[in-house]
Amino acid sequence: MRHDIGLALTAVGCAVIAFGVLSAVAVRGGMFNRLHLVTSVTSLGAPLVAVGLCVESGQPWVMAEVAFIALMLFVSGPVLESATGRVAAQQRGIVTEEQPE
Amino acid sequence: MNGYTICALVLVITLGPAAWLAARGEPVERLVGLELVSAVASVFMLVIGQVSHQSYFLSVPLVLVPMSFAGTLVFTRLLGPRDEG
Repeated sequence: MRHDIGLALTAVGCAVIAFGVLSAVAVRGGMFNRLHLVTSVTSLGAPLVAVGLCVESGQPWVMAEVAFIALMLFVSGPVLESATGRVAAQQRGIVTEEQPE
Repeated sequence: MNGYTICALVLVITLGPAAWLAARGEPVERLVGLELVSAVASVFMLVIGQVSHQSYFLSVPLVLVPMSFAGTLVFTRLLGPRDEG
């Protein structure tokens, strides 16, 4: 039962990641639309895979390491997308202020 | 071939389009591809750790995630507008 739940969560997470990447390649309308699809990978796909692997593993040390990696991805993803979007907006003249130091 | 191996295969195949995105277009657009590649590669290494039942594989994404975070931030800094003075 635990194996099935873990595998199902991991498979759903991988499907979300594959859908996000393929959509990012296929999407029209420039990079700002593409940035939204990167968020689905780091904020939904990776945590789903991590939860699935934690359920499957059951070992505390492995669970802690996997959860920590997923947490880093979860936190760093939106920060990177925000920084990338800001640079793109500066290059297109949408935002004129400089980046914060 | 179990389910986790298929998940790892899906992630490897997904790395291709992400790398393609990182190799074309303007530099900022390529940065989006780079973010995708690093995120997918990190998750792939997590799954590979489960497939091989070797927990030391988890050390790779543990280092890759903060390094790619810092590296991408450096790229955003370098691609931003320069001070004229």
